[in-house]
Amino acid sequence: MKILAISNLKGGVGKSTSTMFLSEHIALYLDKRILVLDLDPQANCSAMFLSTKGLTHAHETSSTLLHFFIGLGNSNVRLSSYIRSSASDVVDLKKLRGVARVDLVPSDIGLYFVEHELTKAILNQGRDPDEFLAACLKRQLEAIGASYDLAILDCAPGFSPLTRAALRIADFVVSPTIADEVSVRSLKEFTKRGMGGICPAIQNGRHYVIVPIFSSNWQTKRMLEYIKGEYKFVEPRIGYSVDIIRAAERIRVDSERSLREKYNGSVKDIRRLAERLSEYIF
Amino acid sequence: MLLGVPEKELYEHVAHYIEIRFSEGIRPRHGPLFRRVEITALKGDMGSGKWTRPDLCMLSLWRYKYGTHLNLDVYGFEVKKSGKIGVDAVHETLAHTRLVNYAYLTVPCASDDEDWLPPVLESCNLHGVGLITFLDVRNVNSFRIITSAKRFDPSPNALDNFIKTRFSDPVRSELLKCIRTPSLFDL
Repeated sequence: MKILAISNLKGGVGKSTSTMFLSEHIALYLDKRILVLDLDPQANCSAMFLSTKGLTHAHETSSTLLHFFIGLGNSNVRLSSYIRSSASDVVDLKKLRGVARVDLVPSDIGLYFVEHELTKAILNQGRDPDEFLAACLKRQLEAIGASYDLAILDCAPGFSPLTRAALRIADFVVSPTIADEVSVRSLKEFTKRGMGGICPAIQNGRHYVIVPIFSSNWQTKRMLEYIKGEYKFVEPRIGYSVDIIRAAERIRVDSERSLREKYNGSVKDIRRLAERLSEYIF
Repeated sequence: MLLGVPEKELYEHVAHYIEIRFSEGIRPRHGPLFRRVEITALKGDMGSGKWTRPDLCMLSLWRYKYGTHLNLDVYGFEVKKSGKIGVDAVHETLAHTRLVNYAYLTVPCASDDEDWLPPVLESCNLHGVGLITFLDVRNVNSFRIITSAKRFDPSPNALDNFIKTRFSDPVRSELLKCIRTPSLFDL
């Protein structure tokens, strides 16, 4: 199983949306088994997959990543206990006879507090929290590694303890960004810190940049040219559209739709992006 | 297939399969499901008789879309490693139906031509025991449900006692919380 971290310093650049559409398109068009780990306490990605009601159910029934970390003291804790199988609402994935699938470990807002408490507790034991959390995640992913082709870790913005752990174990890093001054500045800073030892994948040149929300004007075009010159930019950029906003919203726990219905006019571009990215990953 | 691996070491991998794939197959297509899997091979006393310890158990709580109440099912899994598979294993699994609603025998199987498979399958079908085979225990996609288990109805006391003695405190607390909050299962 390969590990892909979707990460950037800045919020609101499309990390969760990219995680959703990349996982569904890679699974469907490349017949891959994908496990999405939502490491972001904001749980946007989880809500996109499960609906807000589904996310509430996951919280109330103690079935999120938060509960996995709460249970860490128990030696029998398994990440697989928190996996929501076939989490995507894309009905094409369920109809397929191949292996393609998207499973999810949902997040929870409480994870924000628990990861900081956990960090404190680990520090009090005289251990390195980054190392501990990275080893813990890696061990759990390895235990189910034969069952998946790719784990996509949707990281929180910035360098939270879990994001740092994810960047440590990632084989590849994808940074979604918006083509504007502020986002590109944060991308620069993210890359600099990543090169500084936080992330071996970035140090080894396995860092790719995508633009999942692009509104075309002379400023954004100029920034896009800059990104193409400075980073390993993966084409194509995805044009800003209402389709993506609608795709990110699951109305009900049991609602289903085809990939075409979900992404409408953006399907072609996202498919090309997923295929190009997959050439680097697999 | 992890030949020569002690049976105990297979439990963790089988738990992954139950959590990731098996539970997906049994849940209703609509609505949420509460499920917990525990390795129970060494839990509970032996006082209730021989063959009363399924190796793994799963609790599942769910409801029909138009159902009026929640349904609780308990699944038991008996795991056997290669070389220990025969009709005896089916009888051992069948014994669990005194305590669980569905009983499954889970065994490694390299091909459909294995000599032991026809008599074991026949016995499973005869007794309503489910049969699951796997090629690579570490890969949840290599598991196959050869025949599904028939539903049994153990006495309520036996079921209650089974849950009390085989499942951990946190799991029982979570289960009770869900039972007391049926609205969690509304769509």
